Amino acid sequence: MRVSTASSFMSGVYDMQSLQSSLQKLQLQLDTQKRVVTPADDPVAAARVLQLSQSDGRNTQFIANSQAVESSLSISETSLTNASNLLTNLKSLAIQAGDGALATTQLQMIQKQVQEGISEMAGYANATDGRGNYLFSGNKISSAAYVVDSNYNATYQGDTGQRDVQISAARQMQISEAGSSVFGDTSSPTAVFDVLKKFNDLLGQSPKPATYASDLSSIMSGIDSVQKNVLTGIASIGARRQENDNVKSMDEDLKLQYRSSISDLQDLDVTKAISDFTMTQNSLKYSQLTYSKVTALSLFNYIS
Amino acid sequence: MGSSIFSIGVSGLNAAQTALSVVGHNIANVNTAGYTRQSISQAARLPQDMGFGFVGKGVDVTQVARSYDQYLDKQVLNAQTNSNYYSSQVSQLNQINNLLADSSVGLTPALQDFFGSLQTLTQDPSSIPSRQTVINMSQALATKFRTIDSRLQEITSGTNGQIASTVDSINAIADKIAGLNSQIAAMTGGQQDSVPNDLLDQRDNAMQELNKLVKAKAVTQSDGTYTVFIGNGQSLILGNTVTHLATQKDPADPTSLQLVYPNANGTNTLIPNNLIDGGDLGGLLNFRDGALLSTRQQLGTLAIDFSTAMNYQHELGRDLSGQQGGALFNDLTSYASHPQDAAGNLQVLLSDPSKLAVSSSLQLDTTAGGITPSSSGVSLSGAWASVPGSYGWTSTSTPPDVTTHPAYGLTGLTVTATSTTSISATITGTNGGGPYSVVADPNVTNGYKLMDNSTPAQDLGIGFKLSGQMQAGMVINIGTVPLNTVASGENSNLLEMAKLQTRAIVDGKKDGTNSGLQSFQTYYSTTVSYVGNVTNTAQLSSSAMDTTLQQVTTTRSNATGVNLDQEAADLLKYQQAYQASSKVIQIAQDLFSRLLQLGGS
Repeated sequence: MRVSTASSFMSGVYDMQSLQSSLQKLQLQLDTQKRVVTPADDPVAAARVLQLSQSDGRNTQFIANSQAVESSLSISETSLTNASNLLTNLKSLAIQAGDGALATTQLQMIQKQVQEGISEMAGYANATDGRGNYLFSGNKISSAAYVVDSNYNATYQGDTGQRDVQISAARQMQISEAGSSVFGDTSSPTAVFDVLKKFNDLLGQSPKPATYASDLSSIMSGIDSVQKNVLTGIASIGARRQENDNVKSMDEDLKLQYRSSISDLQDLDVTKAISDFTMTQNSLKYSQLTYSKVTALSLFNYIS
Repeated sequence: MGSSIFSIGVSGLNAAQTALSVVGHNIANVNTAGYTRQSISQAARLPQDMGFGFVGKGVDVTQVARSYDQYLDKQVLNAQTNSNYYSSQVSQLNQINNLLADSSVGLTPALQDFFGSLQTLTQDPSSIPSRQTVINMSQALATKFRTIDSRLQEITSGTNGQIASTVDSINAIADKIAGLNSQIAAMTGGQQDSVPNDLLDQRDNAMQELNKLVKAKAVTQSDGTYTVFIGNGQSLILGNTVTHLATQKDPADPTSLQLVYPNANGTNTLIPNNLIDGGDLGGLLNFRDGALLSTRQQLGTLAIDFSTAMNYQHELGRDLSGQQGGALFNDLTSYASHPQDAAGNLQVLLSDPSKLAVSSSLQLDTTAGGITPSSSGVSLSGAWASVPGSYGWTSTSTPPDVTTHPAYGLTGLTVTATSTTSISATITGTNGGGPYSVVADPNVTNGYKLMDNSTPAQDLGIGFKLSGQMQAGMVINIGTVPLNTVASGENSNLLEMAKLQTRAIVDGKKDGTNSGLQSFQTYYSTTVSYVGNVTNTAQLSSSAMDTTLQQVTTTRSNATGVNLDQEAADLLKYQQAYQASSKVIQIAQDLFSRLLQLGGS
């Protein structure tokens, strides 16, 4: 076959150009440690990576949300646990007050403790989160949940709203309790304070009314009943904290999965890339060698 | 007799000399683009009848011919125009491909940051710093849309510039071919045997240059000139006359240049893109009006559908001072018919963080009775309006209007349960209606949502949640939150805004069927994948066409190009012929002088 001088030069150059372009691409992949450097390298993988990075970003946000949920719920739980302990103490005061041998001054001392208890209870019910938002006033987070006047009459200033935060693609978690449901009951949003005020009022009556004993016993069952509400609230928060924790660890597992899927899609098989690089490099070396040999051949070398 | 030997020797000498010139010419042009190898044809002269037979009279050079193969040349032209068609697209497409390449600089992180800031705000909805972050992230997202679009616009104007300069180059090469046409016609004078080979080579090489820019076909006329056609038969060159192509501004889009063919009467005929299917020009036109336009349209569609949906939900809520939410982004719905211009115009309208409409406009209506029976102990822990399931629109339908939402102008909503699962709701007010069925919302604890009466039933766009479960006989009255009333911890409208992140809302088809909707991120990924696919296909086609071009060029070069070894051999051959003819002349001279000596003695 006839080969023109130009084409023997040309084909050598074409071969070297194509090898150089392969080398450059491999070098880019090795530099970035990525198999998919631009969408054209693998359009399907590129699109998938973008979707996975959104899922990963969203998931990371959900983990942050879970942490915020945990922080809100743990403050609420501490407040309610303290409130429940306080109710236990107040109930033992009621039992103490039932002792017929107590003198008026001693009853007054108990009354003093009950009054302290009411203020303490108001403190727990008006607990705030780290940012100064009231935890138990429903959605009216900027106003205190309960206001207790000098006669120990309490008013609920909040609403029945409960705030949710998204903690996974399919789960909204309630992060706030309406005071009316944990410190109140179906009949009154201020049930806890109502029964404590009754206790205080009873102790303040001198002489003791004839119905003292039965009043005291209804106060004690009243305390039991409101404490049950508080404990239900604690249980509900505890259950949510546990679910939140489960969801969070699931989110964290997902995070690993998203990262590994993204890595599978776009990351480079470095061993293979290096081996390809070496092979291409050798090919180029041989191309250059043969090129210089072939092009040096000429009949003119022998014509003198 | 002696003179005949002499003239035979001289004829051989001349032929060998001519041949050596041609060989030298070949060697000199070994690297000349488009040069084809030339060779001489020689023939024995007419013999003389001497009675006893015919005696030869030497040799004549009859022709200097080039080794030209029309068939191979056509293949090269075709491959050349295809190769440039794809390679010009690849270099343009690479620009968009690289623009969208990095997942850390594209739209994806900006979208995620925006929705992430909404999620963070749900934790503490009254926080001014968190609200400010939402506004900052909205601005960052809008800026990202505009930045990507302005880069695409730059590429568009760069492409238009290249189209204009390519047209200029086409006209310049056409002038050159026309010039060669007239030279060739003048030099051949209609003769077929004696042609200026080097000019023909130059003209064929110019045709190849022309085909790099635009697909062009040459037809040889009887006078040796080429008539060159482009498109579907527009003559570019006729003899020595060139019709110069021109560009004009597209009346529909003045930034875009159209290719036109000037008619004899002064009018211009538009040459549609599909007729220019080769060369750089074809590649540029196809890229500009194909992948580039499409990418801008997709980005614009995303901007339109994103801002419209976010505004819709935002306008359903209430801000920190108890006012109805306004528009978060500017209204891009007017761009629906030309979405390519939308992304560059996306702006954030809201600047006051307290104006962010985070809370719901719905609440328990105690004046209408609240929840009965009150002994149930269940309270309403939230009620909200959201983007309805039937939400959607196309470029031809009217944009979604929040004033048609059932919560808009709502005066009352009564939910009645006949059993724990059989619940219905009726709405009174501007967009009232019902009864609608109420179903549990699986993602919200004790959450419920209203379903419309279409088949299959779709989310009406109103939901609520309770502190407990719905019970038989329960009636709930929900009303509108009076203006200026603030529950700063209410975040349901924000939750609904955040949910739009993964909702399928973007209508890429805009065909009125509202099918194949995609979420913002999925739609953007589809765009990136589209650009990747187009670039990938063009790269593969380009490399295939390069290989084809390489093969046909090599084949043509092998058939018609110069081989230096062959020329070296020819050099030796004709050198020997020259020496031999010289010897013949020397012998003739010897013979002649011998005769003279005989006469002189």
